[in-house]
Amino acid sequence: MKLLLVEDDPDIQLVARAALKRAGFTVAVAANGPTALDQLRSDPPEVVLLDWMMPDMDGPEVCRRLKADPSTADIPVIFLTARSQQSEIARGMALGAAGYIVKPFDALALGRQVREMLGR
Amino acid sequence: MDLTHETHPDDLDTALEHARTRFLGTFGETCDAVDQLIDAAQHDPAGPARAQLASVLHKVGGLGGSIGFPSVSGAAREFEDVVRDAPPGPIDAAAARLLLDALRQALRRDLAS
Repeated sequence: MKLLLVEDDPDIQLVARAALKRAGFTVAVAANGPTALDQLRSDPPEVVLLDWMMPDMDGPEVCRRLKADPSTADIPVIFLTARSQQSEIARGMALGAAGYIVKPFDALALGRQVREMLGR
Repeated sequence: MDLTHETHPDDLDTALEHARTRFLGTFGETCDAVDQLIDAAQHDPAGPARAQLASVLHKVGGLGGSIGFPSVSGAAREFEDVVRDAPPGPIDAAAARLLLDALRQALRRDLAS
């Protein structure tokens, strides 16, 4: 399964990418929202794992734009974020997210969590 | 350890080791930056320092526990919540420095476990 990881922190990128590859995903990485949107259109993944807090364009804005574009609207989005407050979770789900994984995450469980949220 | 995108290890154990090494290698600088931001937030409460402080703590909180430093994540998140929930105005620098000390102690706890 092809996954796009959208995450600005290089160490989270490093660990999450290796964890997801270990779980059998093909992983592309985008370090910011605009790059992610470009990659989504040029090489659509089957799922997006999206950081919430990023400079310039945050995760919710990326999700909103992705869902507003008919060519990318059906791609499941899972937020990966240290924001665990209920209001933030509700906001993410209201944007059409398929799920929410809270940081710090368990690298050994990350792939399984993504698959469970996709029902696969 | 200098890592470039071209040298992203595919192996999870290697990736974790690289991330831990870098985290430990920069933790002192991170704490120094937090200390400076506490000063800045106290002396210029309307400036960007408070938001920058919360952002640094947010990153530490999200990363630490993901790579084997759970106490650091807990301490960083508690500190971040205090910063974000504080009323407008000068930050309580003394209280913030206690939380910074707790962050440093958290790393010692994680390294000892």
